[in-house]
Amino acid sequence: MDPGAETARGGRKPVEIHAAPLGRLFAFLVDALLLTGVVFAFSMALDATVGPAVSFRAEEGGAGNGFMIHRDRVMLAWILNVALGAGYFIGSWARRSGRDLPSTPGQRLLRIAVGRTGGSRPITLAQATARWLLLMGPVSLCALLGIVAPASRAPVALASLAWYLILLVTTLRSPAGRGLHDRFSGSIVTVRARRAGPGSSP
Amino acid sequence: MIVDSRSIPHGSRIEADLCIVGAGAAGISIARRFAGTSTRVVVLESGGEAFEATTQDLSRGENVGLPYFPLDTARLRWLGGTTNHWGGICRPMDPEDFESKAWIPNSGWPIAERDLESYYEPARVMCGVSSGDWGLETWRQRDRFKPLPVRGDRLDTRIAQIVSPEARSFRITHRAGIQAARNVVLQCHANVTEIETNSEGTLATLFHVATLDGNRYTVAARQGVLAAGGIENPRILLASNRQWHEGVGNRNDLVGRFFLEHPRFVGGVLVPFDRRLSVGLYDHHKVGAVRLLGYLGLKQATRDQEQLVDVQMSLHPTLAGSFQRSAESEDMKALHALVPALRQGHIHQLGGHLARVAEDLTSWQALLIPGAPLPAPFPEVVGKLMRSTPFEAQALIPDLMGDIAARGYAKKFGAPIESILLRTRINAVPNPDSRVTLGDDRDPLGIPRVRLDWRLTSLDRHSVRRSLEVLGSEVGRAGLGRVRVMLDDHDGPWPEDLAGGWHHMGTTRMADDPRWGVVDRNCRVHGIRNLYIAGSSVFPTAGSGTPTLTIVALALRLADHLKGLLA
Repeated sequence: MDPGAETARGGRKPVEIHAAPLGRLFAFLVDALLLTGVVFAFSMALDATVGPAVSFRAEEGGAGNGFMIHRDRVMLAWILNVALGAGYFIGSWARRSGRDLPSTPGQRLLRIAVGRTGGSRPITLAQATARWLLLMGPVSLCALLGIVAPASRAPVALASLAWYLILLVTTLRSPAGRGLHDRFSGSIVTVRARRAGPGSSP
Repeated sequence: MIVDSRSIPHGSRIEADLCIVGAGAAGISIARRFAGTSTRVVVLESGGEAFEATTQDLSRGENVGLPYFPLDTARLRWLGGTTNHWGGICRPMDPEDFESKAWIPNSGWPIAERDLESYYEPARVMCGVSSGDWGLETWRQRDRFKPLPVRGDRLDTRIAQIVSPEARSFRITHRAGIQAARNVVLQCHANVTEIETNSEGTLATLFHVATLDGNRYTVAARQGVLAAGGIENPRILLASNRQWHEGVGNRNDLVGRFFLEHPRFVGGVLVPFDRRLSVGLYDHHKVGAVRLLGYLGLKQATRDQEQLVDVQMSLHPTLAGSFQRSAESEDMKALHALVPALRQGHIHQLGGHLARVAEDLTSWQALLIPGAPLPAPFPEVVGKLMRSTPFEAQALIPDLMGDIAARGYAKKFGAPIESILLRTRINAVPNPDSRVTLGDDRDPLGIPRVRLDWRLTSLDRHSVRRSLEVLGSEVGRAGLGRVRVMLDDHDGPWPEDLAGGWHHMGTTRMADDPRWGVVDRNCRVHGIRNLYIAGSSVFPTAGSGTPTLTIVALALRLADHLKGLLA
């Protein structure tokens, strides 16, 4: 049973109009682009302070295609970037301000928001964390394994790809557009209600 | 219909109008020509409907001449014969291939191209060749690639067609036709161990058949055709030596002699002045649905003037660094194989291809900022890429992405060529000392295994060198580049990469005079009224084209001749 679908058909509770998958995907891409830009700027700042994560000087021992990875700096970058990403998404979804449901900048651009099922309340911090883990966890895990266990990258990348396909398929097949990440975290992505202007009908 | 000869009662004697030994390109072509007629046809095939190692082992033999492929890998013993794994390159013989040349010993056919002309069209259909057009002019207009722009009139560009892979095997394309024919019985696992003749040796009376599990029987037919290939045909004739110590049809000691191949090796290198010289015509490519391959050769007038045998030169460009890597990329092959594997439901292969592609793509991960939601390189990688030349940059990009980029670039602008290997293929001189004989070892059926003594002549060597020199001269005159000839004109060893084209020819050659050939112009064994030979073993010369189309054309011509006799 899909609780979101039930709510959408319900009579007493406020009707949630779930967001179309294409819009959600586009919003995610906007967020990912924004965040990648921030992460890139952050990496430049790290280069300047603790040194580059990759160097190309042959005398530093670069083999094969001539580059050398500084694992400690890469690890530091991973920790900071994951924290940055978590702050961006979890902070955006669990924010409580005003009457509107919270949303990331990309979602706001596409006029969609994330809320709890069965009502128009924002999701809790725990729900937002669960949602972020289910969405961004595999990418972050892949990146971590790429640093600590490069041999496991390919199978984990394949498993991640499979996971994202599952999310896509479950989202598309759900009447309320709730993929597994929504169901496990008890969230739903809805279209933001337009504010009633002066003279508009109630 | 197709039956298993292991189930035929031991000691049986089967009567037929026509007995065909071998179900390869030649045997199947004849059998299909008779399908639906009132002629009772028996086809004896050594193998089954799938590859069997024990049957294939019957082809094992000894090489005592020039280095050659292990004989059990040079032909296939099962339904469809060697069409089960051939390259599919087809071109009919040119009219001059049939002519005798004073400076080429033992050259010339007793028939002319016009005798085969009408059979090339049905042969083309039998072989699954897309178009009946072999002229350069037609393709010049339709092909996006153009012939090498050499001036003068000494060089020729010739066009061959390539049968699509799914249409190559006669087992796949003609099995249903054989199965449906009520008058044709194809007996699998039937090995001919001996051809018995009457006491005068003028009539083939019995084909002795044995299976590897010990069954034995005979086939008596009004007419018989040996169509077992250029090595097996002489082997069967020579091994039929119980009545005639020299074997059947071998009164003039010609069976097994004149073994011909299309010797191939890299004879030279062309270094182009322009790294974007267009040589796409000389590589496998498609024009519409037709697969084409061009190659170079000297025009007949030049060959006649220089007294050379024909040497075909195929062009194999070595591309600049990363482009060559892209052309040979295993990752790209894996990527290309994904969709077919998915379509055909080969899940285990799909997993392998996916893993390879994923492994390659994730190799790029080391240079990406970890934890970024989109793949973004570290700032210093971006800086390095911006400062690098395209070749240096490509070393940083993972193979697959680099390969895709290189292929895209090559498609749009052409891949830069470092050099072009010139692989030469000789229409070799017929040489009586190049021969198939019987060895000392015997196979499990008791038949002596073959011994192959492959030889070439000094005229073959001289023709390669001189042809490359002429090419170099023409290419130089046209300002296209320089040719380095890698073969000297002395009688030293042949290049290490010398190989054949898996074309076995000449061992039961055709000649009107029994002193010079095993079969006559109708492919009948001299001196035997009802025994014929089909296949490239009857070719007196190797020809400039590939043999399959001519094998089938000759087989169809023989079938029509036999129809007249059996009517």
